[in-house]
Amino acid sequence: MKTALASIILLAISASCAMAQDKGEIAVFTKNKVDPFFEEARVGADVAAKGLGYSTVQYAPTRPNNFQEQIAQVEDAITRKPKGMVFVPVDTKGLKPSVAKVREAGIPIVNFIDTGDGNFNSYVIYDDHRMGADVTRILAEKLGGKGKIVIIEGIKGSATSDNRTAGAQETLKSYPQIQVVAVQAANYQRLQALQVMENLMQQFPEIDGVIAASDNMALGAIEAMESAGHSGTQVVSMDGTIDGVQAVAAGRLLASAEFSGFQMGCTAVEIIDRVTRGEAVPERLELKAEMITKETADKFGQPLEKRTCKSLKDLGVAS
Amino acid sequence: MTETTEMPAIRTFRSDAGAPLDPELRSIIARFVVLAVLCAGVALLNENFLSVANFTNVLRQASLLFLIAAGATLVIIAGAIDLSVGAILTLSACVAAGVIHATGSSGLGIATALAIGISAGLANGILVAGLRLPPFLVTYGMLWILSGGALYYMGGIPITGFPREFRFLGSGFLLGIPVPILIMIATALAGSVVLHMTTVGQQMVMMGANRAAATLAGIPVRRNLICVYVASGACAGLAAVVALGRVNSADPGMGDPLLLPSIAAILVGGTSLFGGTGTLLGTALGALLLTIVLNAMNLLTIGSAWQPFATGIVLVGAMLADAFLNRRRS
Repeated sequence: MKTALASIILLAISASCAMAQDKGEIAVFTKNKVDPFFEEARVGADVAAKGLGYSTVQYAPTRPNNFQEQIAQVEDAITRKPKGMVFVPVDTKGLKPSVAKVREAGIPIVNFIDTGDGNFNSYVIYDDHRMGADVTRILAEKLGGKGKIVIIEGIKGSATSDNRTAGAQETLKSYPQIQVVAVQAANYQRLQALQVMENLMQQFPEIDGVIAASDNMALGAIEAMESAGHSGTQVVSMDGTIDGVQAVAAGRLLASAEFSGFQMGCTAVEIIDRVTRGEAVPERLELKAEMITKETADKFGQPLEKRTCKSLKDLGVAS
Repeated sequence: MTETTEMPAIRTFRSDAGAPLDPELRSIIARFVVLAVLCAGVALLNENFLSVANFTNVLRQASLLFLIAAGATLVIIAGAIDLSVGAILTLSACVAAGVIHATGSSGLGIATALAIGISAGLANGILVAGLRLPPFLVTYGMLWILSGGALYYMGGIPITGFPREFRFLGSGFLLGIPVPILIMIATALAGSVVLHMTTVGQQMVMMGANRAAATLAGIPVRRNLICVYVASGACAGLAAVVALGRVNSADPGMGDPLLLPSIAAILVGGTSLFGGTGTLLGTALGALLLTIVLNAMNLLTIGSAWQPFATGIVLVGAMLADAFLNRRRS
């Protein structure tokens, strides 16, 4: 049985390798090799490429986020004449001439993360504002539309945190009986979120809900409340990290929103496939962040090797 | 009234009893005054600030910052610097977390954290004292090596959930007092005894004040440098145990944000960046001041956009008040 299974897997692998020879290679550029988010994206791109019959070549600066190194890597990659590039610039402005060169060489290039200024064929993004709004709605409904809540921001001034917080605030406008008693920053750090929550509990003995701009901070805040023997506060957050999903499944976190590097990698490759086949692609493709709740938690947070790509069709973006 | 001019950088040895008021004692008093004024100010604006619960809360938060800064205080007093304490905390915490999850043993976890801290400190000490490399660069390089090691060790996924008896050191209570506070007090006492009442401690101060003179006087400068780096690493390892117990999770970014505040706590506490003067009580007061700033801003719900600004104002204000008080007294 085991050998049969193994041979099937081997066959599948060799078949996909053979297929990969057919359509050529896709170059995948990420900012560094240390951030787990980019690791997810690389695996997502690999999985999608294999499924569509391409091979991938991964490029990431050995010194994290090194801009000179990425410029050099783009030069190298162009000479290999790939079918397309999935590209996250270390610096959007600094890499602009490099992206232009790729376009001149007639190679399709797709960005994920940045909202961009139009020099890529397409951009794959999540809408942070909408994530904040959607996850806040779950909290507001759970609280029956009333109560006292606090918002824990990431880094004040960073686009991600500001947009997520703004989204949350917008939803709260439709729940006038929910009072935001504090908006405080914890810089995406778990320890800092723990301390901020400890402090806020001194000032506000009754907090019904917490909105955190990342799972990491939500877990710090939850730890503070659990250590103080404080229960009954509902917490929502964003990112859908493995930790976060586990907390949702365990009922410690009410909900999170999925911000998936894996799916970004998948979709970017699929867009390249469409460009190479001469099909039109959207200039800006927004992935809809799925809500992770206790009911749906088992679908999320899988180890990378078990994840599968959703196609544009699955996402309802293309026919 | 005779005017006495005083140059704090060139301190004479401490044994000259009979001086009217030791400058270190004066500096501690000045810091207490600054802290008292700050507390009084916040208390006027917020009634919850002076509650026993919040006082305990602030002390518990400050204890982690103090622990990471305690050993580094000795390094700075001895005339060097340790920029790797945050990274030592990170690696110690991550590997200890892995060991606890693999073996289920809290004791092994604690031993791992301390062993990594001490080894990293020893490596720093050997590079700085043995090979005479510049302390700033050695410990800055060590920062990258250790946090890089933590990144690869963790593979991007945090390790969460530790046994109750392990978490006791970070989040437990003894006689109603949070354990980290007791660890802070014990560390501060032990460190102060070494610094003020032992020959080695006096040698550290002397070599920080004037390395060349200390060497000529036959002080074992290299051995002492290795000692302070080991102490610094051990404190960071201990801080890692407390941090793990508190947040119940290890991730490869956890120590980075603690480095600058720890150096700030040391300097706000009156230790000179150029060495030769400083106390652990001062560092504790510095850690307390920084912690109170965040606590007060949270209690008063000062907008996040204003918080860096407010922190800066308080720090600079504290330094100005300190300079003013010192001048008045002399």
